[in-house]
Amino acid sequence: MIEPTRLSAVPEVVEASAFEEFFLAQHDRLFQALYLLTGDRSEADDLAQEALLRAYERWDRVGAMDSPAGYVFRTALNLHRSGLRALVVRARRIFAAVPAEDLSGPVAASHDVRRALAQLPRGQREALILVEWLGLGSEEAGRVLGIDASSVRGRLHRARATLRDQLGERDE
Amino acid sequence: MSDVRTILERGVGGATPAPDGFERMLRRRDRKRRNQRIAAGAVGIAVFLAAVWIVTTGGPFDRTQPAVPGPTVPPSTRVGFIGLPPQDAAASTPARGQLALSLVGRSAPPGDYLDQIWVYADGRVIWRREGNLPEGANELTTGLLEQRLTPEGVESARSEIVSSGLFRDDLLLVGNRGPIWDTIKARDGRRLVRVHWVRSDFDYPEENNATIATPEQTTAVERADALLTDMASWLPASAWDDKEIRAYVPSSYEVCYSAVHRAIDPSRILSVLPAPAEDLLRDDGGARSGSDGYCSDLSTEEARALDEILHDAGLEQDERENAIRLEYHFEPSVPLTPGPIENTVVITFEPYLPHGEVTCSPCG
Repeated sequence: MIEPTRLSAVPEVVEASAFEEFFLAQHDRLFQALYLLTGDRSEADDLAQEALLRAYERWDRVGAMDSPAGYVFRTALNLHRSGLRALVVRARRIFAAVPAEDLSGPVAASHDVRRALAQLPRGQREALILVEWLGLGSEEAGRVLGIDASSVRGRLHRARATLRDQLGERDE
Repeated sequence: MSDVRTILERGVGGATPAPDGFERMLRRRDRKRRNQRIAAGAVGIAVFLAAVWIVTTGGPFDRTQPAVPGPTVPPSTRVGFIGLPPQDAAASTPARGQLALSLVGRSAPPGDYLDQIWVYADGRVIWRREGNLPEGANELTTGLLEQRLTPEGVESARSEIVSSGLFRDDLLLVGNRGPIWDTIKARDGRRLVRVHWVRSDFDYPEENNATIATPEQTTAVERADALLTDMASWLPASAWDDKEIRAYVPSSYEVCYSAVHRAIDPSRILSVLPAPAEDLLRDDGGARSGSDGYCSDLSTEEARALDEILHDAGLEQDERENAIRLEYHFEPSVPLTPGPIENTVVITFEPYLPHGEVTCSPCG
């Protein structure tokens, strides 16, 4: 008989409802943050699912953290940074012939913003989304990104200015 | 509400994830567990068969076969590998080489694959392509492969590429057709001229000094890309010293180790590795900072020894990552820092190319 390999133990009956509550509170928010980060719905969905699953597998520890959401976003960022996730999503697309992105309707209306976001250096984009979209303070964003809070504030300042410039929304 | 928040809301455009997110996550967990069980079963069977084989033949045990055989390509045709080379494989010679031409880039759909090609003055053509090629390591990548041109073949390829006049100065060009992005380098005497190309409808330049490509430059980039990614189709037979595709066997590897919490001192990370691994990486004498954390250079033999130490210690290899490169993930029993934070340690192995550059297997 084949024995299951080592998995972090999740006392499922006890923990599932607490995790499900966390999942339902975070899933859309995380997906949207990752959509802003990557500009790709499939990749954002895949990253959100994998990051939340990793939190679920370690929920005994993650659930006790000060900021489980910070853990999940950090995991998603690391997955995204590895580049592998995008490769796998692209590979899936090729093999499954899934259309890349529907650029009609409301998606087209938001395309200019995502294009402007994509032009930001990755560090600035991450800081902007953590603070402006997920509502983290610069201290917590710094912990997620592994940088000082002052660096977060610097990145934010530059990101906001560039974004407003790109979209022609700078205050005169 | 801040104006930036309003801009971001416009960027999201009301997008929501696919429905049934929680159920999909549970199905994903089930798939993962099933795959782990299958992997555990396969490992069990493989260990049994290997034990029988070793007992009956006394032969070495080769752990470097492709991690994920492709569904349509017979494994017997595959020569590429991921991770460390087979025990008896001789390293590519000479250990060092001067780059004559190179291309790293991604083709536009419907292909949409990453190509990496390095051509050396000594005749070596080392390449890797994303996808399921017969010679490749698995269905995601070929791994690094090698062919050989004659010195005249190298010069013929180089002069053909530079004949367009594109490679006089470094350029960062933005165009509206051709590959999604390319970085093409061509040697001009002692200089290696770099042309970086970004296609505006797919990607964005990361630097501010980009210029809009002229029609002639666009054509020259498309041509250089086509020539370099399919040298077998236009170089005459006489240009090849050895056209047979073999695996590129590196002389050395860059081994990087990192914790999710990057502020942790490298010696702290080393201290949670198995003692022989810690000794091996400390003996290298340095933990320079690299893109994948703290990095050390190891000969292929040292890298193999380290792999065996980590493998024997039961450290976990990630199935997906290991279809691209050798990579270990583990959570040390003694936390790296106190408190409830992510303690995962990641160890990656990347081969060195003859011109001293480390490849980035998962990039692209």
